[in-house]
Amino acid sequence: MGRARANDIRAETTISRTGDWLSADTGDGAVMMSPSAAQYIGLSSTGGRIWELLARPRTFGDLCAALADEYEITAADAEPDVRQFIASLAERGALALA
Amino acid sequence: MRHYRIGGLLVESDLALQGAIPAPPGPGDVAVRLSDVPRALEGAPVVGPQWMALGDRFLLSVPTVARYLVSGGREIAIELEPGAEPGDAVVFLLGTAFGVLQLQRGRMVLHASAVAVGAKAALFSGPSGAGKSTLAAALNRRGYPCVSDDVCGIDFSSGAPVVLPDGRMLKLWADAVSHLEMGERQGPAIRRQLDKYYIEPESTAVDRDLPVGAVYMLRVESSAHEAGIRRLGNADAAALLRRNAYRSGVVGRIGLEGEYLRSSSALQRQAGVFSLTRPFELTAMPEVIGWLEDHWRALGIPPAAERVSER
Repeated sequence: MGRARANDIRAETTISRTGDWLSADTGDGAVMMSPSAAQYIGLSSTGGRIWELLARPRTFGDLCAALADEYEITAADAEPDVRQFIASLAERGALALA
Repeated sequence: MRHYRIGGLLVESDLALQGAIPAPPGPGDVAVRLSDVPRALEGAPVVGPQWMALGDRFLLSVPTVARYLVSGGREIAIELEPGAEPGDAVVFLLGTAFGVLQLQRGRMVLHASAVAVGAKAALFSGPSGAGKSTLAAALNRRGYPCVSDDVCGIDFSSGAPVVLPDGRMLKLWADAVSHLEMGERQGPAIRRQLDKYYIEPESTAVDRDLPVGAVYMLRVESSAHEAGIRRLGNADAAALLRRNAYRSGVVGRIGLEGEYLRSSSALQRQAGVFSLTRPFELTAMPEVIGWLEDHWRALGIPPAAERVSER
């Protein structure tokens, strides 16, 4: 997997979980852990929700539409932050992009 | 048959458990038996340096001391090696064997000391030498009952994290003992080689289960860490709780990594995990206790010990 760049993520890009990441709800968000990488990632409540939505693979477009619906914003408003978030988790080996 | 209360569990033991606090007889939650213990668990998929695990059985072999078979969270069988001192066997029984027994019961087991603050428990975790026992002993002298020393079992079965009273005597490094002027209460040395002593706490809270009020990750002041108390971010809290897991290497290898992460998240959600960075000198302990009492007031846990000792 190459280094993920936010600009490479398009509406039709499929995003799926990868690696051995575990996650748990911390009340104000979530925490993720990879036993093999001995790494931890803290997520905000929105980040935690995105991780939950990715329990099954989705396209970026589908993900933004689902979030727009839940948070009552437009998909266009959601896209820039979601794209950055997806890129940073992909860079840490928690998400695969195809 | 002897009876003790350890980690909130009533223990029936064939062996005298030096360092554990005796309890009245009753039906035991855990049986400690002197009996034959195999040298290996046949077909065990997981093999550590001195242990192997198969299903709900965990075999610990301590060369020249004893072998322990910990089963189903309910029984520990011990076979002493020829010529071994029973007192030495008890050190590993109360340590690794009992820690694994608690993991088998679905508990989180943390390197931590705990004191009671009103109806809640405050936990102090950190690596050896961070000052857990010393801080707990200083708080104990100020009137906070000692709940747990060195190893702290946390149960989540009721929904909220609850600390189960340890019933073990405080273990302290000898220099801290002399600083706290508890020298006259030193018990026999734990192991001949170790410079730690059992100290019976002035007051204990052995009969109450206490909800966790706050968890403090102890560290010593450095250029990277300014002294004081701060709330830890989720990732830092989870990483530090994992690093301070009792028998950290065993947790992942007996399939409990996900359970441990859920437990540490429940602690963050329901109690709060903080860093407590202390000044290097042990003489600064009263200052640290002052920070803690302010912090407890801010968290809505009134410090119960307003009885101030003048020494």
